[in-house]
Amino acid sequence: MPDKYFSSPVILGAPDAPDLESQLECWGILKKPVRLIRGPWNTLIIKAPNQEVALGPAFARRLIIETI
Amino acid sequence: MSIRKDLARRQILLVGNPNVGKSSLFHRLSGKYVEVSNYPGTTVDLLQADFEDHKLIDTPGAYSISGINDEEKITKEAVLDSKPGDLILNVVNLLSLERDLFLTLHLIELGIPLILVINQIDAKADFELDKDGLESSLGIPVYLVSAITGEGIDRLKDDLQRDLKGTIGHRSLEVLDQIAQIKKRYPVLIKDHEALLWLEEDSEQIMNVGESPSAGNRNRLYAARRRRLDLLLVKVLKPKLTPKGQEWQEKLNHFLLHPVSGGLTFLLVGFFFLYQVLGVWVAGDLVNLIEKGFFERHWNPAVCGVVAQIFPVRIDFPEEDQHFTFERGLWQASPEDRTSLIDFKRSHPQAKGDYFFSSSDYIERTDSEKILTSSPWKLVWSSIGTILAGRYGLLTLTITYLIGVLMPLVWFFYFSWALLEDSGYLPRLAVLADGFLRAIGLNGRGVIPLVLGLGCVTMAMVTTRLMKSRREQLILMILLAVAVPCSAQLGIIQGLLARIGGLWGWLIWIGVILSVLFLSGLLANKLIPGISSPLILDLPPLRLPRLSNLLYKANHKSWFFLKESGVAFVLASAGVTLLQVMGGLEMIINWMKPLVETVLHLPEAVTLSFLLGMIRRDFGAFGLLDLPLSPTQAVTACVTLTLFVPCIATFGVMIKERSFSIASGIWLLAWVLGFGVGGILTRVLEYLHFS
Repeated sequence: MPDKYFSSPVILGAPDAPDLESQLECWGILKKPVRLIRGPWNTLIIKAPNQEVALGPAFARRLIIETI
Repeated sequence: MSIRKDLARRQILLVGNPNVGKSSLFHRLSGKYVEVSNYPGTTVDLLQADFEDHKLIDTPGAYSISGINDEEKITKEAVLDSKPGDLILNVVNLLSLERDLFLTLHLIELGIPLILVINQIDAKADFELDKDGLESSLGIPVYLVSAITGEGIDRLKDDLQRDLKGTIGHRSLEVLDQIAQIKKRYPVLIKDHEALLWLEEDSEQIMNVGESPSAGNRNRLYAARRRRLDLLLVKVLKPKLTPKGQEWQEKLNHFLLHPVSGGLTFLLVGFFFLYQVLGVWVAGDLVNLIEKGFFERHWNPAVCGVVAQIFPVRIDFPEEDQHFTFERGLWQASPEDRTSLIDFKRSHPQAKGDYFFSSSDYIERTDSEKILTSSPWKLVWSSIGTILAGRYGLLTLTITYLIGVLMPLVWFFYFSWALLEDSGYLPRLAVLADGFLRAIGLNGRGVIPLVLGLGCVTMAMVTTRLMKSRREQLILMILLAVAVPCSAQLGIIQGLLARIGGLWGWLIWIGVILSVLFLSGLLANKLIPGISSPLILDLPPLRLPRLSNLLYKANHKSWFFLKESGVAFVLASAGVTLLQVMGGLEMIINWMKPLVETVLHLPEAVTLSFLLGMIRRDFGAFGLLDLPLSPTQAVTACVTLTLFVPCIATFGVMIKERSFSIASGIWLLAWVLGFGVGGILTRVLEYLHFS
């Protein structure tokens, strides 16, 4: 994943992974400004206000990420 | 699991996202202990308790009622099965309203009457909540409580006792319109919630209709619900300055999730806790102090002295090469016999007497065969004495083992475990372990049942439901059954390794166990068909655990362990003693002896440990601490016992969760692995002259 995604807030979407998209929508972190942090073993930590979520690499690859 | 219907009593269901404090509230309202932790998935089944005249039910955490995973299906069933008059308390956390109120809106749209309970109002939030605004926007009553401090609980309790009723909140016109259209098109969908769940791609309703909704329907509905919630939050939350005190959490969080610092922390914490705390300090120093200092010096002689008054006994003074036999106990001994004992004690004030109640000892050590053949009742009488105060006596060994050895180990284990649970460290560990667990067909979430298994493998078997697929659940079951020791067994093993094997022995033990865990997982991943799910995990905030909660948890769990284990151990001890009296124990030991002696190169006495280990894993370490083992033998015994068969209770849970054939297969696998790996290890260590 390019470094630019980890240096500034991003917007997440997952149109090709409906279950993931539903789950992120439940948590309120879809299509909203969040920060990304590199986790161990290619995991991805999504940091939203008052909320933190870890995704395995298989899910992380399905994300569509846009910088703000 | 469905709720048993009790028509006469109202049911109050606690429903909400994982980790919002439902179990804490359940405990506050009912007084009943339930597991409360700082990670999602603590409750995996329905828990019930009495609350005044009502039945209070704690449900597993769910992000939606569409029943995506097993826990959500249980919650969905409980919510939809509720009858008129029942009450749903939707519990949310003040600090995660943005996430938690999504389920609230879902419940409202399903047309379910409810009240909203906002928990953790004692927490520092970076906003102010307009409670009245929230109440009027949602159209349902709102209560503010703190299950930790008790704030607001009395008012909620009072209102619940006054038969507080839930309200169907304001549903959006858009959703109502969609529901009406669907119900018109599919008459089989009678109720509103059936229509909405079908639109959300609920598998049960799809089967009911025989047709799926158009692709993306669920996500469109979710997006609409999210939009409504965002607008609502803008209205009812007024931002404040960010509270101070979150910086340390942020830094610690990064530190724990970093591959290097997080991994090193895990290794150091694991080593310090297992080897130093549990092995050296608790199993070594503390247990030694309690067992030798109190039980062996004071308790056992006192108990034996009392039992010897009534039951046949032989008192040995090995240092003076003297013994006294009292066939009818001291109380009914002839004046001459009693006088000779008293005279001996007077002339040898330092002499220490050993009591022998075992009838087999009688046969071996005295000329009592005449007694047994001429008076059969004496066999019965001496057997009772043996059961009470013999080698495996209920009043001697059972009490010493349970209170003097197991309880300190179990208490310290549960206290440390509570520390991990309440701090929020476990979900971070799940992220750290994701790479390792992915290789064996699991994902990071699997670490929670695996670590829970160190407390009790039987309970951990139930929490395998945390995993999304049946395949992952089966892999976890295999690993738990073959390679994870339970708390008491773990404590004794740590003690034995610290005393005999030393640091290298401990490293060999942990290395072999982790290797077996990994290789078994790799094999299971290759052989079991299907695919595994990737990690997706909500990370709760790190927090400082409350000492009172840690003590409460450790005390409660230890007491539960004592009650459960005590009965089993009493029965096992009595059974072993009876077997010993009847000669069956010797027969079984002779049968297993070749395996233990030839395959593992261990002394015959260890056979009893394996025998008892089949009943309960913690009994499997029975007597090991006192055996004169060499370092190679100690490491081999610890590895084999760790890998040996799961206990009877775990076997029962495996049958319930899976099938008899799968449970039996795993049981046999544990035999092969235990003796196979133990046999290879002992030869390698002997070759290397490990000492």
